[in-house]
Amino acid sequence: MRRAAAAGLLLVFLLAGCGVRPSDVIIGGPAPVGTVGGARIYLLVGDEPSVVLRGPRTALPADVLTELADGPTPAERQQGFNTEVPPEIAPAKLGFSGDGTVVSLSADVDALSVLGVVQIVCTVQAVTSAAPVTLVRGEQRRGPLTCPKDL
Amino acid sequence: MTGFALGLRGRLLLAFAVLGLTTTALVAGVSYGQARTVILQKAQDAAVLSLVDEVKRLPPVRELPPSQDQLDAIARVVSAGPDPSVVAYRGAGASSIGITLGDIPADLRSAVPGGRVVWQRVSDGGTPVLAIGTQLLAERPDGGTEPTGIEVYRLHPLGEEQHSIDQLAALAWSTGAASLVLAVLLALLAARGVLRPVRELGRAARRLGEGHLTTRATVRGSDELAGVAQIFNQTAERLEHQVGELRRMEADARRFVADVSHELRTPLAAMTAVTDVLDEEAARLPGDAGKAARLVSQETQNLAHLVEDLIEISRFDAGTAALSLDEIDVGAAIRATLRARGWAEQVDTELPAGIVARLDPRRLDVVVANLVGNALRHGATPVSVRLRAAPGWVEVTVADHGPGLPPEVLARAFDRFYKADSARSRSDGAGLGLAIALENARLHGGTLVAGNGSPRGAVFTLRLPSGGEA
Amino acid sequence: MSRVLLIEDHHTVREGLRIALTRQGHAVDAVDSGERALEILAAAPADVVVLDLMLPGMDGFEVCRRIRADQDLPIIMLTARDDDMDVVAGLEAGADDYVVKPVQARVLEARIRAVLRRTNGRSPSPSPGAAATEKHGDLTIDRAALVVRKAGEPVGLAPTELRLLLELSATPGRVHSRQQLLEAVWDQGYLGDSRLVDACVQRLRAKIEDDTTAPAYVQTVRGFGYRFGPL
Repeated sequence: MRRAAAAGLLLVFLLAGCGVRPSDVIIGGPAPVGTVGGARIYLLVGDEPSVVLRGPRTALPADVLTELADGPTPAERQQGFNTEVPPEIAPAKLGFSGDGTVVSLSADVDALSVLGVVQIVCTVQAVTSAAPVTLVRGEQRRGPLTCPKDL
Repeated sequence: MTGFALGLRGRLLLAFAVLGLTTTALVAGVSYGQARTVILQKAQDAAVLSLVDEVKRLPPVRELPPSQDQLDAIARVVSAGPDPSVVAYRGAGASSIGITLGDIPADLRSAVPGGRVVWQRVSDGGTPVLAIGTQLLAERPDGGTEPTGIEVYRLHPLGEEQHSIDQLAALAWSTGAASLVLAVLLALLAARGVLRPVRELGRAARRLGEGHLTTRATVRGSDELAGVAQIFNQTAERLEHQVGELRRMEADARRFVADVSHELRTPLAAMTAVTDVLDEEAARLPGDAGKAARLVSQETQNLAHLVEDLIEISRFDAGTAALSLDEIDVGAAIRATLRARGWAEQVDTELPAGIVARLDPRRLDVVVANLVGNALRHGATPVSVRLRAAPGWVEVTVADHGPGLPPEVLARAFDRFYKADSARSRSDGAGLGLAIALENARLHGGTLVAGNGSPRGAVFTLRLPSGGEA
Repeated sequence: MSRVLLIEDHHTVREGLRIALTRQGHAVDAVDSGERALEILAAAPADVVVLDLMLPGMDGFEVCRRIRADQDLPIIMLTARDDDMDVVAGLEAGADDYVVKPVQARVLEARIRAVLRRTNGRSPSPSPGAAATEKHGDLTIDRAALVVRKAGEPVGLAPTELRLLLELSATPGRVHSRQQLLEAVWDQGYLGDSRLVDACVQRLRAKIEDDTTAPAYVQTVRGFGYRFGPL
């Protein structure tokens, strides 16, 4: 009995081990990083902020915020992009204080959704620098804030 | 443990084969598995690395979401190599050359947005293929990365690796087969080494059992089997010694009997010479003196017979009995035997004339006289003597109509001094008669068999070769 | 009454046999050695000699030969049953008969009478019309006088030898089996020992044949027995 079982096991082991078998998905290292050109604007795909490039032109930070306020183009909407930044934020002005960038918006800062704030902060940081961003309108302030590292 | 009986050879063969196979399978299997892993890993790593490299070196993306032109441009770059690739944006809008997004496993596609390079081996109609997928990340000014949504997939065939691995497998199989053959050969060799002494021992034991007490086993080397052979030899030696001792003692005892018998012969010769005088005078002696004289006479003759029988059987024991053959008419000889002892009237005879055989007449007389005398003493009348001739043989049967011989007596009828009836006194008839009859039959090369007739009575059958010694 | 010379070295056996033979009416001279026996025989002839083979000093065979050298009187050997070789040697030395010890008086007496009958008895009847004296080649047999001559010279035959020759020559050319001869010559019938016949034939041939290896008078018929002639 035991001998037969051992022989059977051996056979299974030998036969099953043959050839190249299909595998599950194997997760490897981090995906490659490429370079992108042009101004970045963060729109939303579903609930996720996603970068959008608008052509190979360089723009002023204030112009970029205007484009953000304009929302997705029809083509982008077709791809599933939307926005939570109200168009009223434009025109906006950027200034610099000691601890980062200060963005003065034309809309009610406190009324902005979290995702909308993330869109604005990330877009500003993409054209300026890594310095924290503070959103102001009169006495209203939000920040200083930074764009989340992993989007 | 096993249900079927295997010989020592079979068990050794099986053990060696199992051992050889197990070892080979383990070694070959493990090394095969490792080699396969190494081969596959190397191929996969190279393919993955190549894709990652190519994706890294892509020209900067300028549009997101990408236009079809943009995707096509990327697809052209990544498809420059031999492996077909496909480029997609957020799981759709594919641009491809050679393959479509549908060729990529769904599992892989759903893993790609995770931000890491992923791959999976799949079977494409029997041929193993490595599917690799990755997303293009973009660098952020703050040092972080973010997904661009551009996904690159590639199918890298593993046919070559499959071939290498198949070759490895074939090598492992042939190694296994060779090792099995080797194991069987080694097992046969080992079995021979073990079995030959065992067989020799068996043969020696059989010969010893057949009575060849001088048989010894050959002692080779100093292993366990040699030890067994040594013990066998010691045992055989002791046995031979003891049997020799017993034989010597028996021979001594027989020689003693022979010597005593010879010593008794001279006084008996003197006494026998005067028994007739005693018999004649007994009638004239008064009362008890006459009885005593007759008793002495009778017992002297009995004793003389007994001593002569002892001397006769001693001669058979010593192997000095010789035949004095003569061409005789067997029927006439038997009739003479009966007549000489005064039995002619008491016995039914069937003795056809003209049956001639080359026999020792004196010994035939002894045998017939013993058988008939025995039948008359112990059986019941009528006693019959029949002579029959068969080609090459004469057969004499002596039968009585007594109760016959019980089985325990049949088995010992020819034993010396064996008395069927233990109540019978010692001096009643010679205890050696049948033993001497048997020895005489054997000396002629014949047989003497005791049995029972039907419906009753003891039957002794004497068969002698009619042409002298058989 | 006949004179019996008994030669036996064992005192008690000799005494027993002497008593027994004396009671049978014989005059018995009992001696314990061959030398004594030869002395007595030289002084006075006996009718029959009863001779033990196993003797101290001169053994029985030698005694037998010595007696045979001068006299034709019958000799009966005393032998043990297990001494087959002795029987043959004794018969060749010239004994007429033998008895096995221990022997009962009446058995010995019967043998003594048988040999004495051979000495004194009549010859077998010659075929009717034949002369008492027959001539067979060189051999002349006088059945009345019991004298055998070869080429005119008398041949000294022991009584048994003479009886055997007379028996065989009575029916020239007829085959006699050993058993028949035992019965006719030795009065022994089927219990007799055929070696008696063979030994006697040998001795007879030595006396009457020209060439004992190719006998003319007493011929062997293999498997059957002996016959006289044909010449």
